[in-house]
Parts: sequence; C-alpha cells; structure tokens
Amino acid sequence: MIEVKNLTKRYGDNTAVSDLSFKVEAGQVYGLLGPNGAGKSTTMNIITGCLAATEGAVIIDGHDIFEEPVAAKKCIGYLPEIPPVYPDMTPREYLSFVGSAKGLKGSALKEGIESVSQITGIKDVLNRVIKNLSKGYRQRVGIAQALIGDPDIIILDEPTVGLDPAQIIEIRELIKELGKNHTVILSSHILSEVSAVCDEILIISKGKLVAGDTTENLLKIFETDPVTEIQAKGGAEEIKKALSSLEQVKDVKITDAKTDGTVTAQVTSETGGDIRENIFYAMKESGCTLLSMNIKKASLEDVFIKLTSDEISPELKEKLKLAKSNTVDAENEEKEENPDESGVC
Amino acid sequence: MKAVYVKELRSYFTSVGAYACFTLMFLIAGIYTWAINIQSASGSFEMTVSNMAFWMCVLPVPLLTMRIFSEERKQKTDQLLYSLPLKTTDIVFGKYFAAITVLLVPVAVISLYPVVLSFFGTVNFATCYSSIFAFYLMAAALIAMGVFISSLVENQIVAAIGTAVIIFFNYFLPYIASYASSSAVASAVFLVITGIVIGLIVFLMTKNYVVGVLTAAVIDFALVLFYFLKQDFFEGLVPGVMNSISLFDKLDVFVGGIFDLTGVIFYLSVAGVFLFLTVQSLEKRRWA
Repeated sequence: MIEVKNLTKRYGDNTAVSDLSFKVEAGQVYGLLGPNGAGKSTTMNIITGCLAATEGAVIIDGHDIFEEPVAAKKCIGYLPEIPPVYPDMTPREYLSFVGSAKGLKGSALKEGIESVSQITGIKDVLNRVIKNLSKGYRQRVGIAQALIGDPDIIILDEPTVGLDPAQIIEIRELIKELGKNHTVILSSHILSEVSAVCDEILIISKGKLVAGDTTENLLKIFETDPVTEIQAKGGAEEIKKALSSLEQVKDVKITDAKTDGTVTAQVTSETGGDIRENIFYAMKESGCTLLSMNIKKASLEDVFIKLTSDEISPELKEKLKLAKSNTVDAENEEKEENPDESGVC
Repeated sequence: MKAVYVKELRSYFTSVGAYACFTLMFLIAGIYTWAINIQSASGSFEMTVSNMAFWMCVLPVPLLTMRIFSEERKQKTDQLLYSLPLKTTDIVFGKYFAAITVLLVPVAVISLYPVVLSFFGTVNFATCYSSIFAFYLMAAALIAMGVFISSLVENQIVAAIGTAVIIFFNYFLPYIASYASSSAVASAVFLVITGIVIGLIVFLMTKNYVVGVLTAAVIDFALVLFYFLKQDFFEGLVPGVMNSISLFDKLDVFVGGIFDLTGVIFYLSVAGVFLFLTVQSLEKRRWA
C-alpha cells in the first residue's frame, strides 16, 4: 500500500529523517512511535506530499508521491499535527471545500459531509463558525476532513491530542473501526494509545527506524527473566534467605523494608514456569505472612525507553537484527512461492 | 481549481477584507469623481480613472492580496492544500481568480459613473470604458504581484507593506526615470545592483545562499562582459527600462483614447510572470 524507500530529509545541517525505509500493508493500523523531535511529523508530511524529501522515494498504491502527486494524494486522507481548519468557516463550508477539492460533487458531496460528520460526531456544530469551537471539536473537524471522500489510506498525526478522556476513547474506537477497511497510520507518543489500537508498531528515534513489528513480537524481543514482586511481613534477612533457597530463583533483591515489618522484594527466576506457588509455601514455612505477589512483565514503555535511549546495547541490536532478518527471510520465502506476483510488481 | 476559487471567494465575503477594499475604492472614486467631473463640470471620466488609479491600487490591492498565502502558512492550512489532490497551479490560479473576481465588484459599480455623468454632459463612452478596462487589467497585474509577495512571507502585514511599496515604486518609476542618469556606466551599475537584488530574492525563495550568490554572480558577470563588448547598448538604458516597466504609464495611453493592444498584452504578461513565480515559490517551500 505504502512503500517508503531510503527516505532522508535534511534541513541545512540538521537531519530530521535519515535513511528511513518501511512498508505498510493494506488493512492494518500502524502506529508511528517516537519521542519528541524523532521525525514522526516530518515523515508523515513527506508521505502525504506536504514536504519534499532530500533523498528517497514514497510509493503510494503504485504512485510515486513526487512523480504523480495528484494520483497519489487521491488515496490519502491526512490530519496534520495542528488541524488545518479555516477559523472563519463553518464545518459544513470547510468540509464542502475539502470534499470538492477531492473531486466530490453534488449529492455525493452532501452524502460525504453527512457520513463523516456522523462518524466524528460533529453534526450538532456543522453550522457554527470553527473559531468558536473547542479544541476537541476542531480536532474532530480535522479528522472529518481526512475521512471525507473515503480514501484508502488515512494518516493521522497525533489524533487524540486535546481531547477529553471520553473523546479519546471514542476516537480510538473510531480508528479501530476505520482499520477494518482502511489502512491507517497514526503517530503518537502515548504508548497505551498505540498498543490499544495498532496492529503494527514502527518505533522511530532520531529520524531512524529502530524497530518495526507487531506489539506482541516487540514485547517478546524484550522478554527478560520473569520478575515476581512480593510483599510480606517479617524480617528482611529471613525473607531473603527463604526465597533464595528456592530452586528456580536466580536472584532476590529487597527493595523496601518498612518499620512496621512490611518488606518488598523482587524475585528473579528462570524463564518459563510460575514460581508463585513455591514462594507461597516458602513464606509459610519460614513463618512470614505473604501480603501480595505479582509478576512484572516487560511493558511497551520499557521497550520504548530502551529503543529510544541514546545507546542501544549491542545485545539488543543483535536481537533486533535477528528479528528483522527473520521477517526478511519470511518475505523472500513468500516471494519464491509466488513468482508470478513478484514478476508483476 | 474550482474548489479553491469558491472557498477563496467565500472567505473574502465572510471576512472584513473585501468590504474594507470596497469601502476604500468607493471613497477614492467618489472623491475623484466629485473633484474632476462634478466640481469642474466635465464629462471626461477617463481623466478621473487616470488620476485616481494610483490610490485605487496602492491601498486596496494589498488589502486583497496580503492574506492570500501568508494566512494559510500562519494557520498551517497550507498543509491541507498541499495534501489535497490539487496541483499547485490549481491553488494559485483559484486564489488569483477569486481576487480579481472580488475586484470586479467595485469596477462594475464604477462603470455606472459615466452613465450617470452622461445625463448632465457629453461622455466619450468608448474612451471611458477602455480606460476602465485597462485599469482593471492593470490592477489584476498588480494583484498578481501582491499574490507573489504574500507567498514569500508569513506575516500578512509585511506582505501588505511590501506590496504597497512595490506599487508606490512602480507608480513613481517614470518620475525617477526622468532624473536617472542616462550614461552607460550608470546603467551598468544599476543593472549590477538589480542582479544582486534578484540574487537576494532567489535566496529568500530557496533559503540557500549558494544558489542566491550564484544567481547574482552569473547575472552580474554576464552584464559586465556585455558592457565591455557593447557599451553603446547601455546608453540611456535605465530610464528606458524604467519607463517601459511602469504599469501606470501604459494606462495613460488608454486614457488618451487609444485601445493599446500592446498594453493589454503587457498587463497579461506581468500577471502571468508573477503567477508563475508564485507557483515556483510554493513549490520551493516544500523543498525547504
């Protein structure tokens, strides 16, 4: 659907995006994730034809965005970071402008405005002037603008910024709904949002793609030895001793010991197998009262912080490379299986 | 193009821009008609057109053009225009045609003045209307200049002042020309400075000083070379060029009772050149 090849964008000496390549398949929701200034918006602006790239190519549904911009842009609905609305217009006027610029006419235009305002919930404000609308409604008008004309690809730059929690949930539901028959790319630095709605995650840091995979796979790469955090009442030394004596336990760390005798400890155990039951009996035997137990899993937050920190450990790099080469191999295998298809391409 | 045209026309009439422009133009036209036609009981409205042309342009034209692109950039709505399936020429021409359509309103109203005057005296309708037509074309050319300047800067006040200064300068060109030295050296120096100014404009458009300096250097080098080869070409060149690029000067030919086709072509070409430059300036912006 979208193919980004070796994309580079330089502003003078400053490189915003460097050698970025990825592919977006049809009918999936992609999340572009990265810290501030990572190059998310720049990448989206280039994909949608708002900016020219210094080097590289973007192919949208077979059309190069630089060579055949009009054909390529017809496939895209884009919501930039700041909703590009005209404050002096009403949403109806605004949508009718965008719709007619996308080639809708007459009753098709009217129906388009009706349906997108229904979807985004702006029906009540259609005839009010945009400058009098709240930020949340402006954002919705911006999303409605991207949806009008029913483009195959919808690109949303931080779509939930400025919305209240109820609206955020609504918009997320909307994006999930859109993902069923559209290709959606959204950028965000809110991880829970990305993990809630996206099928695939592309993590960008300093203009480079550091990881691109499904949420589960990313978490798998970062899977470490399971850590169980427990809280118990009793002597710190006593607890440590009892826990260390367990067979699968690799390491016990006392993280907190309060004066009332509540001790918090982190137990690192071998991969595979749940040791909570063993911990329970160990505590019981040592005469300590177990208050709570829970297994800590690597979260997307950890993945994100590890990937976007200044230095990625060589070990991690190796893992990522392996994951990448696996996907490349899989692609090659697919191609070999369908030689006709690759010939057409 | 139609979508941009309709949107732009609507935005003119829903904001203060078009009305402020109309008010100003009717005020100026009223004052001049009163002073030239009514006070001195003359039916020659073409003289009124000639006399008021400067004031009818220097303030109303910047009012019409200042926000045309500056505002889009400031509100980040230019990103919408770029991401819609529109060609840059569609955007520029849509906006330009909307601006000259707005201008048509006061011109149409002013076209009624000779009819009113004809009840009280003799009016040469052919000269009157060819002058009004020429005025419209000239204003349209000036609007194209304003559109170009608006595409260069983000602040609409700067765009307005820039456009007003250029119109002002253009109006006084023949006066300046009559004082300009007609010697070959003066002409060459003036053209070298012009080359540097062109380099500066190129730099503003591309934000690349190498390209700007290179442009200026190539133009100036060619000029100096040409100067040593054919010195007499530069004799009286600057006043001549100044006179020939003055838009207001051409208007007086129409006022004199001649429907000057070269004038019409001149106005259309000026508009065409500046619209072309606007398209280039917008295209360049994407490469910033």
